[in-house]
Amino acid sequence: MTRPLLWFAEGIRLPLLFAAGALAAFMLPLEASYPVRLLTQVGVYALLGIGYQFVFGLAGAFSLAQGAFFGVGAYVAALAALQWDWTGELTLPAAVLVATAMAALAAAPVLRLRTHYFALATLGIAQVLFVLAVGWIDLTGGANGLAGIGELMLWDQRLDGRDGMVFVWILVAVVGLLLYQVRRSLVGLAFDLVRTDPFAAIAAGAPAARLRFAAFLASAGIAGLAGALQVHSIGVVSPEVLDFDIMIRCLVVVVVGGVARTSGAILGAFVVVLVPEWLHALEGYRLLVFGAVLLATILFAPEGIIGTAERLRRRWLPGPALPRPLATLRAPGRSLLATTRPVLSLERVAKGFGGVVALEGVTLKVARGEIFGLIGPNGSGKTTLVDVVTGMTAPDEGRVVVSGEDLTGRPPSVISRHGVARTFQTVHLHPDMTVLDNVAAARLGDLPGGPLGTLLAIGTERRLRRARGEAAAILEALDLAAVAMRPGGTLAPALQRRVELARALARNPELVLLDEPAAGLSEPEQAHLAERLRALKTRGLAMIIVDHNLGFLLGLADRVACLDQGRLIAIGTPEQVRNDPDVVSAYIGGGIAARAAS
Amino acid sequence: MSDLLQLIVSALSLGATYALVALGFVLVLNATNAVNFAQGELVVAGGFLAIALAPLLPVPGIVLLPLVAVATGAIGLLLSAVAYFPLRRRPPTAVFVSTIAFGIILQNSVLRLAGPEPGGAPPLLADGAVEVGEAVVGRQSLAVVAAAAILVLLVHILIERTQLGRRLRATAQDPEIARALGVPVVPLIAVSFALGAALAGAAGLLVANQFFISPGDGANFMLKAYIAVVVGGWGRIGGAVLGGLLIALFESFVAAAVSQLAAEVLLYVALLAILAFRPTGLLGETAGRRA
Amino acid sequence: MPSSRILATIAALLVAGSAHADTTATIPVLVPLTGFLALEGASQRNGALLAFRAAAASVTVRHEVIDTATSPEAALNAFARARRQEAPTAVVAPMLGTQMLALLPAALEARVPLITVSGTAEITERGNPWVFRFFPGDAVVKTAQARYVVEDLGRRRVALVYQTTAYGQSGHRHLVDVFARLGAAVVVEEGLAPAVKDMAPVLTKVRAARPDVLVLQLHAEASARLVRQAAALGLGLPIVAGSAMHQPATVALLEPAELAGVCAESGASPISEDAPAVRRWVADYRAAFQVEPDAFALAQYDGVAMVLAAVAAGARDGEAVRRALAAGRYEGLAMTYRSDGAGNMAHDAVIVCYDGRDRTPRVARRYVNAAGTG
Repeated sequence: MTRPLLWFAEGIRLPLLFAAGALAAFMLPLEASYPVRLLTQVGVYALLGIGYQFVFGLAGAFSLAQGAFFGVGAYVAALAALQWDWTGELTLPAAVLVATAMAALAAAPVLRLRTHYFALATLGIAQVLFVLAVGWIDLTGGANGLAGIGELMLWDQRLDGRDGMVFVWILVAVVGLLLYQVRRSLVGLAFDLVRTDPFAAIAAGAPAARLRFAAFLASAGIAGLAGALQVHSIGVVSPEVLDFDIMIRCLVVVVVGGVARTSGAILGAFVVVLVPEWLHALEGYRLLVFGAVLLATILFAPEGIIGTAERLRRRWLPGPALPRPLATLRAPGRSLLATTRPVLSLERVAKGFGGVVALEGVTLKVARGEIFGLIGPNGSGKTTLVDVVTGMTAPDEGRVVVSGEDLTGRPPSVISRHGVARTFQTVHLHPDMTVLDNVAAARLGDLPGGPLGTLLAIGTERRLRRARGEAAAILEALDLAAVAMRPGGTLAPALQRRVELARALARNPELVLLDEPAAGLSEPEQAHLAERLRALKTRGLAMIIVDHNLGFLLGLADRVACLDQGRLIAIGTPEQVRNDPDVVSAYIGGGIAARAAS
Repeated sequence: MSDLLQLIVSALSLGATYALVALGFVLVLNATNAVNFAQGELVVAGGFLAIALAPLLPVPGIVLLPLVAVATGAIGLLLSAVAYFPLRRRPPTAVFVSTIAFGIILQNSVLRLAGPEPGGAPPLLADGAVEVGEAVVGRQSLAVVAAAAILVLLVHILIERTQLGRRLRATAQDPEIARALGVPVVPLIAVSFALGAALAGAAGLLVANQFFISPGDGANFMLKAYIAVVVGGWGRIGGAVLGGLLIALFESFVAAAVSQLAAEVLLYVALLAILAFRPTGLLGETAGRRA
Repeated sequence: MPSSRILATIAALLVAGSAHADTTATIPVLVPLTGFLALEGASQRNGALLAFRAAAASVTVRHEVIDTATSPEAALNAFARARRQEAPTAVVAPMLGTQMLALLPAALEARVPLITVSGTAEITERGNPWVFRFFPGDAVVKTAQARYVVEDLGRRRVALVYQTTAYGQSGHRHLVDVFARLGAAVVVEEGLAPAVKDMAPVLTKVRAARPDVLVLQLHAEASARLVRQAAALGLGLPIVAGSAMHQPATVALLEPAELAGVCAESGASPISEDAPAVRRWVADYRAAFQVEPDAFALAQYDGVAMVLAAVAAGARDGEAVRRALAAGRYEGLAMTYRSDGAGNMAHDAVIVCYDGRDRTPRVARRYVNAAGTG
């Protein structure tokens, strides 16, 4: 008895609850046109909002074209209904398809833009569509729009009034369930990283570009569906559906209800439709109060109504326990047969920023199971080298070869899939996500089962459970089990560094690049870290370690290279490099030797 | 020839107001890295303030200008206090939304206080026209361009020649380092908001004589300022001014030569092209990260 | 503050309507009070409220004012809201064409007559028996406007500037047709978005085509802007504008001198009329709302007054009112109203002109049954 209850509680409860609510509304004697009209409108805005949750809530991209895709869906459905007498079973898919296709076209130039550029570009697209709707009179009827679009018909079944409302809410439940599944899955974790910290996403190997693309398309398609439903429900379409006003209402739905959540969009839709109706007594002050409500929400409940409720629930109710560790990760180093082929080979790599040379003619090889130290004064190009190897910066010249494959200039997600992981000089963990999930997110690329599995999974996704189990095993091995269920941002800096190492290992890498792993660590902590790294080395993992702490590095590394003004000035055993006169002079007057000796 | 001159002067007088709005936009942007979506509504507020003040103080517009600028500057301070500072640690989208909300409140306050009628502000100095060769050029157009130029010059002097300006520039470059160097970042951000809003308010007064102003005009000014900032180079003060003028000239010439519809569509197409070919991708910042 | 005074007036009117009565009429007022038609919507509301106050003592009017903003969806919500308690006798419907198109099927289903002043042509062309338009439609006023240009001014080369909104595009379509019929050539035409501020480009374009008259179909603010810039740039052409030009709020933006030689079409011009009944009405309107009335307010007043007259004569429900409006004839303040069978009640138009000395226009020409529709 308790198991199915738990399954229900853990799984799809909220969308089911709302579907149940819609059914209840169906059962209720809602004959009056006013509540039916409003509830239909709420459903349409809920759909629009759920769609916007994909691009804005999940991917964190501030698209201002959501209202425009709504309008595109509306016009497509209207034209199809008027020109070819299509009914709902055709107009709705057509609206979804056209809106999605337009988003796909727009995505290429627009999706790689940064926040404000992206917002403006999407706004530009919306404006062009608006001008076209007004100006292309022969097609769209101009500013007068098109009238006389029939009520929703599905295979000769008329769905007007209350039936139409129920149908809209069934679609809300279905689409809401999709969002709910994605958000609660491993993909949802990856979205959380992509949204909050692009560097964390890179470190976890999340395919940020692909996720954003999928989210943008999903948003547009759902907006198109909402637009088509709107047209069938009100019978006319005019350029107002493309107006910025719809976009603002969509934003209000999502922000007031709760970002990234199905229930948030539904609640927000109720607010955006019903509150102005309640405020009718205020007449002209209505919109003023509406703006004030929006401002108050973003100030006092920045995660919306649902987000705030969840925060309170987390405060009062105990969180979930650490899952059972699942030691299914392969040992580091994929090729179990020892090869002489180097894991990493850099050939004459050069990189400049403006007129400044960051790297010049760098050639080096790192072998399986080798710890390779990288030293050099500040600004000598060490982090640039790490960025070039991990694909965050493309070199101007030279080649980056990973396990025999030329990956020069490939994006971070591709290089990451070839077994290269990294940590950062400044820690990039998701501050609100648990340590466990910060690490589990890095398993996304390596687990079987794709997006379809995510959407069809019932309850907590299997892949997410497995990823968490594996993450638990890694955390245990690095003595982090005790803090695994705490939010990443609450840990001491030294522990955060260790979590980053755990995340890098969760990528199942052959090569790990550690940028200043010992910074801020006490002597015993450094010794502990060195011991762990040596253990990983014996299992075949190759490492490049950048550190200022030469005592730590020279005691640990098999070989050490010294960079100065972008050039390799020495490479060899720790002993050789420590005594190299060029190295000594690079560190101005033997500072390096003095510190190394101490 | 006279047509051309009239066209250019008229476009420049509108472009000058775009430039002021965009300049204010960039000042806030540089200080906070936040987009102020209420900037357009501040223009409307400035315009209607001038209209409301005119019957109380029967003086030329040029005398009202500082009053309106101070008043909208105060609204800018309020904006920063309620819609920016509480949210400065949150993702930039939070400030997008809060400034949109502030804009809705501002727009509907104007609508309540002034009513739905469009309004016209008093002229800067006097109505009438001067003859330049064969062309008849409105005095007001020339006065608007001159007033805007003086305001831009004042901002330039402020930024380049004063202690306040040095601190603003330092904050714009890196707020963390500025704070470490002892620059009082919070008051500077507040000053940026006030200055940005004052410029928007001044633009409102300038535009509301020749071109009138309605409570619903804000969105259009916001959009033009946003585009001007992108055209001129994100975060560049001189670029914003240039961008504002360029947009107005572009619109005027395309509209006169082809049609207003073409001008509108081409402006957005040009904007999208600029964004597509000069994108600053998600990882653009990494260029600055070095060991 | 004018808004609070208006609220007080509305409250007073509400109370005034409740005195001894035999009959009750429920007439919700659905008009745009926010958005770009807020100005015209306020005129509609004021006209309707004044008519309620003037209702026969035997009729009690129950009403609520609901803002429809500018979207069809908001209009439908407002309509559903208005029906939620008792069936309305008639509905004062918004003047925005797209909202009217959305309301037509709803009115048909609810069997409620819509009383509007929307000029958009299409609303009476869809065979819906429940719509009644008390402001002359585009077929009427655009005919008057074009005939005045061709017949009275003797102009043949027309420059046509219109707004790219429902009002502008619908008017543009009719003007082009009528000018073609009258044998005048439209030598240049340009559509302007309401956000367009600078009129110099369109004036440049107009001047290059060497027209002999400038015909406008623009909203209030754009009309004023274009007239001002045309005066400043010395365009030197007669201007014959659409009905938005006659609105006192438009004229208030301009100096009298800038208005010299400007004419406009309208259904009526209450502030120009000498008839004592209209002058009394104008005085009442000013006293109640502290603004100048326009033709929309007067037309809405006449429309509601016709409905109330029908109610006083025994029409108890929507169907009875519809029959009375469809078959009746009503002497309103602006003109005589009767249906052409499609719900077009107003068939007369006026051309008003400004002489450059003050902001009150004089009626230059009256067209009775201008388009031959009545």
